[in-house]
Amino acid sequence: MAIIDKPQGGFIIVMSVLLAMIFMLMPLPEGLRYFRPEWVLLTLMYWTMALPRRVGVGYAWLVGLFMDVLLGGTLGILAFAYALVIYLILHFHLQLRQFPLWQQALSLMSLILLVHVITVVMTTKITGWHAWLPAIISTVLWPIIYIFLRGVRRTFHVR
Amino acid sequence: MYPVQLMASFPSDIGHWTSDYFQSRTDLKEQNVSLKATNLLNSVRLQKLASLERENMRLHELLGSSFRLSERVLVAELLRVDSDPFSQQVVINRGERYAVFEGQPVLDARGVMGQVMSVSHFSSRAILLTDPSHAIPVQINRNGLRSIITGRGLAKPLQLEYLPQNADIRVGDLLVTSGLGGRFPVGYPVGTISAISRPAGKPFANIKVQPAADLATSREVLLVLPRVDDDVIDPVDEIDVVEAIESVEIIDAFESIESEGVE
Repeated sequence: MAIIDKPQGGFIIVMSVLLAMIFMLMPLPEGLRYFRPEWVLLTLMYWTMALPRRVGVGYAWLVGLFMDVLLGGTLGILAFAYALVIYLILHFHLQLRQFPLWQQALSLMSLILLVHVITVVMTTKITGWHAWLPAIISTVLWPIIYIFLRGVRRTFHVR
Repeated sequence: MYPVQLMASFPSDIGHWTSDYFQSRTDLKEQNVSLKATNLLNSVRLQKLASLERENMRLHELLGSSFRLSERVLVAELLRVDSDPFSQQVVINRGERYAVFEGQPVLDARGVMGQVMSVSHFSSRAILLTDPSHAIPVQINRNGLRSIITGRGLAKPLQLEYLPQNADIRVGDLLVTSGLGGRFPVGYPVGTISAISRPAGKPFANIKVQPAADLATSREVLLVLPRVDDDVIDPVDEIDVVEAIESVEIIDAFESIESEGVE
């Protein structure tokens, strides 16, 4: 491995985020609507942890802006929330990488909850207990997503 | 954004298409029979409607006021795309290209669904009656009592606001749009009153309304077009209701009934 890696595979990162966006929009059966994992946020979190120099706060802010438009929310709220969370991950990425997967998932749960708290505080949504379901589902799915994206990163040599 | 939305709705579109394609002949036959029956019923009602409309207009003429009767509509389809589950919105496959504009009323076959909230080139986003930030001016069809209906979120009935405890309301009353406010055309059904409670010590009655439109299941929606022949009505700006009603000539209304066409 060279001492200074040339960045490569930016296309793969963009495609994975786009795919996550499509998953966010894909219609689910009525009963499962509240159980949708935060695909986009999880994907961003993975790339930030793996490649903190490539995917950072600016990237997260831009993606959050897109998500605001796609989900029809108030423009800027998700952008802010995503940027904040990705900043925290950037700050702690060395620690997070050392954790076993379940511990990583639990720490990420607190960050996903932070996103939900921000959107609940800043909008006039009517919420109930199921406002917190996506965070829990995302936590449960984190190990799978992590292993999958790691496979993608290694296959396509994204650095 | 439209390509992403289109991709997201693609798998379920395929599912829908295959189930359409493999529908059995007997199913289609049954459907055909029932559609014919409803068509017959509807056309019988329509015969009566034409004469009633004319009678109504004559009476209005006698009273010295003019009256708007029919609007032209644009048929659109919902994109199979989910939004944030905590706000009530849908995405429609018509946008700026079809001159969809912000605030345009959205109807389905049974009643008012909501209004257009934002427009992009190929698609637009509509806010539903059930969204907590949506309100619509209505009147009770039976006695003309005016009020406002606000949304309370998914799976909760709408709320009829600001009617005093002793107001003349009954369970089962039909609520129609009043046209005040200038956004929605007059006389489309919004919902029926499903429950009334009169809590002691509160100035207003607590009235629940069941929406008339199939908010959860409708696929085709109708976008009400502004009348092109009225110079007064500028679809983008706020509509001055009084001026708009006064300026419409009765003959216009007659013609538009005869040449009523759904795109």
